Amino acid sequence: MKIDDLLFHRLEKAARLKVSPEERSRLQADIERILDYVELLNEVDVSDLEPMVRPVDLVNQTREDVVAARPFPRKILENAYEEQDGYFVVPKIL
Amino acid sequence: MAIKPQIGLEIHAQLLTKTKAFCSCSSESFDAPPNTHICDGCTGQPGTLPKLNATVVEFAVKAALALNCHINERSSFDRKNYFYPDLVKGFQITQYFRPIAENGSLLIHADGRKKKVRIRRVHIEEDTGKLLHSPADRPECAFIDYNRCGIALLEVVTEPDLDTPKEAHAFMETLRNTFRTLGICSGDMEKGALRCDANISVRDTDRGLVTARVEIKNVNSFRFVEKALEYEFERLKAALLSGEKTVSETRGWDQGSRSTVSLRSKGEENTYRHFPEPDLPDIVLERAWIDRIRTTIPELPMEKQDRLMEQYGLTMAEAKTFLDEPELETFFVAAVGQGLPVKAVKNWLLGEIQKTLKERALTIDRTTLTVARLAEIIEWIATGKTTTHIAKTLIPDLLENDISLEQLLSEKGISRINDSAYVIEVSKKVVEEHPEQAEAYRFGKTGLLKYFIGLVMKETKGQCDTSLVQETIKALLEGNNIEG
Repeated sequence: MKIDDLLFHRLEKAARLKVSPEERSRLQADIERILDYVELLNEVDVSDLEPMVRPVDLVNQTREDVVAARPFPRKILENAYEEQDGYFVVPKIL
Repeated sequence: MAIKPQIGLEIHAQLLTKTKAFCSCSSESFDAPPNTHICDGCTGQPGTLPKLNATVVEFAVKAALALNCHINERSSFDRKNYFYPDLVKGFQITQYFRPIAENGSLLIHADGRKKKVRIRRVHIEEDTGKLLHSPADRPECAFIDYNRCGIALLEVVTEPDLDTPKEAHAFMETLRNTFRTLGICSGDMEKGALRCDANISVRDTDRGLVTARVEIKNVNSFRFVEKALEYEFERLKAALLSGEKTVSETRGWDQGSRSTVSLRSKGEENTYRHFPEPDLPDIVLERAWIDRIRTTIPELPMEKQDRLMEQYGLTMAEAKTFLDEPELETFFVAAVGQGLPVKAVKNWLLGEIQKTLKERALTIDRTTLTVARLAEIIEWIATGKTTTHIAKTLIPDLLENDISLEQLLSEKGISRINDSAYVIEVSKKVVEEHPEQAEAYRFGKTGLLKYFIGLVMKETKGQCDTSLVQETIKALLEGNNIEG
């Protein structure tokens, strides 16, 4: 699949990433290669197969309803593109 | 001509579990500072895995049992993919292909009769983060709080069985009461613990026409759900009558203009590319376990309402009041349990007492009124020691002061006048002062008796026994001997 400049720009914007021109051509090529690789799967005929969702046959893997606060909400927030008053800040949506 | 709406509801109920659906973050999101109850899991950090909260399954099964659903022995989770900042992962975990329960029903009371509303499905999913659009100091931005992201929701979808906006209201109320009784959802709509999307289309049965289906989203009170549906019914009906084309769209209720406004047309809607969630194993439920949960289900609101009606001979409306005001019901049951007459207790509680409680925004358990004190009032009236009229004026004091009836009456200088000589004296005076009316009475306008009784009661400040006054006035007007 061809990742043209327009599509790349949309992905960049959606992911809120800033990519330099050198990175861009490398990433464009990488993404194309990944998609082409996955495309290989379409060559396999699976019409007679039951879909397999997961490789292990487990059921009822649950946990007790007990609060275990993770120590790093702050750290997650620090990773935000922008933060203000404890909020993640994104460009206007509506 | 029969033009009728057809309404179906999708209700999201936040489950009262301590933690979120798939991670161990606290689910108390409402008052917490933003982004303090978040972790690597619910913010979708790469490499993290969801783990299902066992209590979520238990609560979902409770709801399913209360809604008479078929519970699926095996259910599973799916991803609903969409790209929007309220969900960090890029998908919502839900149960799309195999929900935990299906094909149920809920009985509601609508216009004084019972109605069965079919439930299409009940499924578990996760809540999204909360967006703050264009905050005052940053209009070019949106702020996001992920505390709510990942909180367990139960979605209940009805069949389009609701025939009026009022029935939609009744359904939501009954569902909320049911979930509160089960202890699985707070039902606080203003806090977003219960949210409703309503689907409506309007049908002209004579001409075999139907409008497009409109979805009304995120209405935050029962009353507004009803209002929005009423508005939308009128709008679609007008379109149907004028032959105007309607479009399938999503609309929101705008309280300011009291109307619905188009948010987006269904054509623009995303396809969600649902596919099975590979990171969560299926849920397989054993009959024995479900039966054990079944034994924990208390008497549900509709069952209770029926029982109250049957057991105490209450009307549907009376039983409903007790259902909506559990403190009043507890008091009622205690009073009747102590042998007080049902009729008197009910009349007092649902009459003067409820009125005063409402005025003061109180519940009866937070007042000084006790069953013993109410027993005293009823006893005094029955034995003629006071009148209903006087007792009513004392209710506000009896709710706020722990004082005996006797003490209260003497403090207020009120005594019931059952001194017949005094009643005769006042009655005579009243009759003499109104000769024309007395004459009219004698000529057959017997309805004037009430007028004279009223005058005497006014004169004596309502402290006389009505039956004594009636007897006396009647005798006077009809010229009978009353002195002997």
